[in-house]
Amino acid sequence: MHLDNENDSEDIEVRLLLEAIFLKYGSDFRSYSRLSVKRQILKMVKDQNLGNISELQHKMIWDELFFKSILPKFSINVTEHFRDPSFYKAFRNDVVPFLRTYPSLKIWHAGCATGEEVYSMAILLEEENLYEKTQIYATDINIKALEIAKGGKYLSRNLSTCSENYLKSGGKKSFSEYISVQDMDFIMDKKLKKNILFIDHNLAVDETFVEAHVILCRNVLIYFNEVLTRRVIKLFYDSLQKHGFLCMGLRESIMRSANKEHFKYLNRDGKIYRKVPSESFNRMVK
Amino acid sequence: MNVSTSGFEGIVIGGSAGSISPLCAILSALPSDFSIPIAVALHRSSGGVEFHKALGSPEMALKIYEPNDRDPFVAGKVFLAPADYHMLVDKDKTICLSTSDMTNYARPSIDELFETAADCFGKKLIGIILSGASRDGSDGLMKIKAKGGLTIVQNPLKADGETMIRSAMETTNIDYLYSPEQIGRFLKDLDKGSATL
Repeated sequence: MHLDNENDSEDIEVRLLLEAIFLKYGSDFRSYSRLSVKRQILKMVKDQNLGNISELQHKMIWDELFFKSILPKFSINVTEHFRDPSFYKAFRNDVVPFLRTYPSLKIWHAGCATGEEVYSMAILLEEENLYEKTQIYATDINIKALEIAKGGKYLSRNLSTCSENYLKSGGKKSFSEYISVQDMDFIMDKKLKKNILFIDHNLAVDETFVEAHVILCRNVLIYFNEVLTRRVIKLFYDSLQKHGFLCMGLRESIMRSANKEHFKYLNRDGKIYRKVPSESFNRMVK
Repeated sequence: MNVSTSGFEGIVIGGSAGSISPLCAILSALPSDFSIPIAVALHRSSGGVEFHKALGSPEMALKIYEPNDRDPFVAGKVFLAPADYHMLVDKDKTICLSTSDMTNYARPSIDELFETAADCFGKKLIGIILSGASRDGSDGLMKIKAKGGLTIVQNPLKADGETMIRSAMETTNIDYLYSPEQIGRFLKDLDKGSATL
């Protein structure tokens, strides 16, 4: 039997740190994927030149300013315009035809981070003549990220990636038509913001607030543990219209046994699912 | 799935520039019933079409597989870190994907895979560093060694990129320095129980 004391100690430290943060500040990361959180914490320890997680805990508990400065590092906000172009292509081909049949549309973008993918969807809808009848609810737990999303201002040096992704996603014009460049930054066109509401929402505790035709939640659930993941899938199920669409990250599968009867694939590679209306959903959640 | 008689429960391989052909050489030596799970992290651009073609060679009995988050890490296929994701191994032997910041300027990062696999498998892990032009992987290999795992590097004299290998050799007292063909044969024999450590 291989005993691994150092490792066990680290896992204990992670648990204690998360508990301490919750007790002191109310921020709750205890239902996050333990391994991902641990990696983030170990990076903080390294960046701060500390010896171990316990030292980090000491600093976090006794120095509120320090805690506030490091808090955003717990949430992962890596994103870009038209991230995974193949997803947008699949959405255009397979979901848009259904969306044409509704008189008005509600789209919930859960975990929108700094908003790049929300504007990407707005552009896609605009090009498919669907934007006018759409209301997008873009939510995140990270207030600072939401502020950036609201501003719609991004770094010009990423423009070439944006344009490249846009074209690969099946864009019909040129990305530059949707922005104005100001030196180091570019700003999203005002008309794209018109039908987007950015809202502070916590998937771990908040309830459903919309009956959406489409929910996008890409690369968020990979940071949640099994229990929280189940809660969120249920939340999405309850927040979708009868045959609504759920779009996940390209490497996220919700088709574990418990979800099989509640969602079906619309596009397997694009990880686009469709709700299967059922009375039995409550059985799925303990 | 069979449990390997070798006592090893995982193999992790890392590489960067010039690592595709040695990786193919290693994997081509392994039979379809190779019983130790294999995870590979290579630095790659997010496009990856060329990359897939190069890796999907018909001589390979094991299929290359880009996992979904939470897939069980099992034998029978080669788990390749998807472009733009860190691939980690959790203690319950499932794959955990992350889009967190780059580590050593890379995503996927070799250290992220190696360090988490070392936590999961301890001395039952083999870490292999191939050709590459960065220092990513050195910390991970060091951790594998510290936990009692087996460490192998590609012979730098015949590698396209020496930096990654030399860096690993500086930080870790490497167990074996082999050509890709030797690594392939070694792993195959090890799994059959006919290799001597």
